[in-house]
Amino acid sequence: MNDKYTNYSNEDEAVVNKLNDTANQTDPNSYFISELEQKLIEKHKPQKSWSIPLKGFVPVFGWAVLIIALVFFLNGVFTSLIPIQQPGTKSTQGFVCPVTQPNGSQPPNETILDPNSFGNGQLWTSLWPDGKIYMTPNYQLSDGSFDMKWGFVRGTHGTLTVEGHRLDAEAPPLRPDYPEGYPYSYGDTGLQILGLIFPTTGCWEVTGHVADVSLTFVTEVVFGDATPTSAIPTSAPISNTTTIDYLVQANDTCASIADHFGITVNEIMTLNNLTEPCTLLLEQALKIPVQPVSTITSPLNNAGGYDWRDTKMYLAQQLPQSPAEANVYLLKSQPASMDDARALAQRFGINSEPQETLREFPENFNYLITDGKQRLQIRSDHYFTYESNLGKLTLEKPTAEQARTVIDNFLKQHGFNFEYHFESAPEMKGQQFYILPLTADGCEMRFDYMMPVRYEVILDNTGENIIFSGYPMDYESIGTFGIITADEAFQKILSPIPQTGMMEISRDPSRGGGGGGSSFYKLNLSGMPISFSSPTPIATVDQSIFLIDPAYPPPTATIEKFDLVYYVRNPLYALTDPNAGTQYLQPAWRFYGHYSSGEEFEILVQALKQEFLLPELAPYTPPG
Amino acid sequence: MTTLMATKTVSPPMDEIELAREALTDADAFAELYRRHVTRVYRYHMVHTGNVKDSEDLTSQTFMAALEGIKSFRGSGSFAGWIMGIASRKRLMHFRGSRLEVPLDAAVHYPSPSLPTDKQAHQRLQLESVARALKQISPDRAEAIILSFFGGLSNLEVSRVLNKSEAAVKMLISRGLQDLRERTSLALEVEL
Repeated sequence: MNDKYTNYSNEDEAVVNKLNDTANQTDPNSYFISELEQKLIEKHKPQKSWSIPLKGFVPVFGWAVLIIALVFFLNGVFTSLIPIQQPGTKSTQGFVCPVTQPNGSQPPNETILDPNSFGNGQLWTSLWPDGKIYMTPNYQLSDGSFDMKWGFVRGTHGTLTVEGHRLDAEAPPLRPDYPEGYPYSYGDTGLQILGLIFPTTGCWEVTGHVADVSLTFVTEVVFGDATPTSAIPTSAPISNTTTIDYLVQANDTCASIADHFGITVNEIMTLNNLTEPCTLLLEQALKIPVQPVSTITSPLNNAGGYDWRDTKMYLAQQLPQSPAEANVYLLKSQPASMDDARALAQRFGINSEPQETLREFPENFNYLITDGKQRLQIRSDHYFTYESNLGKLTLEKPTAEQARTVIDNFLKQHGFNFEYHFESAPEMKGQQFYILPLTADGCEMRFDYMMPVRYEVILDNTGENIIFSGYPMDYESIGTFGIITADEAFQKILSPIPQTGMMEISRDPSRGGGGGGSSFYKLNLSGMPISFSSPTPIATVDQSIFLIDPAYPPPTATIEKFDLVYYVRNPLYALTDPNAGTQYLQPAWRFYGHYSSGEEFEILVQALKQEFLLPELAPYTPPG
Repeated sequence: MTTLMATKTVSPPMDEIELAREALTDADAFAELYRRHVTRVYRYHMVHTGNVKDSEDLTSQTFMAALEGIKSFRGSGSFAGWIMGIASRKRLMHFRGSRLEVPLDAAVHYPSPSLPTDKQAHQRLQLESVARALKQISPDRAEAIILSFFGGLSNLEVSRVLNKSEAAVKMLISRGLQDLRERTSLALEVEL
């Protein structure tokens, strides 16, 4: 499985032995080992939170995603066939739906505060912002009713049942759609996902029961427009939020919270009916007034820089006004077959038979094809490495011009016909190069951990010896969709309110080590940064390890470049995760620049408009 | 430790992805993962920091973070690669926070009951010389070598931690070994 111990030259043997000996003799003290083990066991708490059982989401969701994809494809055909329910046709004039607001109660062990959480200490759910569920044709069933996935978190033990009825008009009762294998699929406590089928739009009262505990909320079901490229006439839910719930943490004071959110202590006290002196309880839920995202800074004024976290953000250029819509691509992610391996080998002129080789991961397999001179390895996720001349790569660098020409010819000769950006790898300047293929829109792509989608090429000065590796991305457009403006995306970055749909890295180009690009120090992600029609939590990274960098933040930050990129899950994850579901390449606004400390940063903001996204469960938490 | 084993036996060949899944709710499963990987994490920190105290501290931090973040382990790579990724980020933060190069003289100061003193001293010197040599070569080559030899990762796993291709990792290691052989203080010792 691991050939590293046999691959070294004789010259290196002494060094290799020395390294191995030293490593093998360096063992932790046994007292330390058992002491830490005890600490870990004490600290271990069963983690029941939204993000764990989301894997279980997918069996429920798989078919729904398929239907969504189909509807997108056949949208034109479908719209005429689906009996469109006229919203609120039977509702009483003047009826105001008494929608339930989040009450700040959070399920236990939640590390990420869900501003939409509603609960009673034993049963919780997450409400839609403003109590309105925005339905699109994607959620509509053939009988005209609407199906929305819904989550409850059970703090108690028992099977969840859900019932509901319409308040503002007569309608058939709500139909709960329990997932396959229910109730065993979710165990008898913690998260339970199910489908809520609303026969009509309107004002609905929904009650979840677990044993003798029940939780009732009222929500309004609204039907959006059928055309993907047009916006829902109501504003996006997120921008309507006027208060959020904040759970009081240790060491918080009224003043520190007021300061953090840029409000006054009085505002906190008034809104939460607190009396002088302003005292708080741990985990107390406070209502915090916030301005709608769309009006935080307006108009954009670059003169003094924008307040951003504890630093100043500058824009080096005007934000672009276009595009207003962008393609979304469907990733074709079938595991590589023997035939695929053979076909790729033939493109490189290797006509031997593929051999299946040892696999690194259980779900994964590799093919190896070689004619003695050339070698191609291809993994089940289609990642391949091609070596043109086994063992003959010298360490003599090509000239930059030579490298460009050789690589360009190589790509064209072997059927890699795409536009691309060409970069020299910072850590191996002059010998390793990156080829970043562009989509039809001329955009770069990023994997869900912010790595560029790229081919890596190592070559020498002969022009003949080349090592070429990467993911051939196979995808097709499923249509164009409305996106938010760069300005709106920038507001999300500036917002002090936790935002969803963002990813961020920064890296110091002058230092090696770390992971990602030349070097890579911080990756600030949480929950589901981008959730377009994909209910699987993507790019979950343990945020606790990224949030404690004492060097953060540097004095100022300047954004030098903005463009659209495409964001996609790493195909290896998509293939090895049996619950991955359909994968998309989704547009994201990219903001690229430097901190005054010299580090580069790149922030991606999900660009698709809110109505094309699934309800988001976990907000992005900025570092610091 | 013995009581744990008595309450639940986790057999060694048990799939780590399965273990990681169980570790969400089962402290014993997490402890099993910990026991399997604590040595590689410790070795990694030891060669970087050169001192026991910091290595133990960073090893604790690494596993504490892993415990918090176990739900984000998706089983899409090996657990070893995942835990070493955390270790490497913890290390980077440690160095960025302190901005101090820790002297090596505090290395291996714990008494180790099974080893005679002269052997301990020898080990300490050996670790010192290797750590010093690794600081003399370029950081990315050193990191690839450390992850490979001290972290015990395969080239593929190293490539995942460093976000580089396997080919690049092979190259980094091979150039790093060449550097160690030709350009560092280790060269002399190896000659001997």
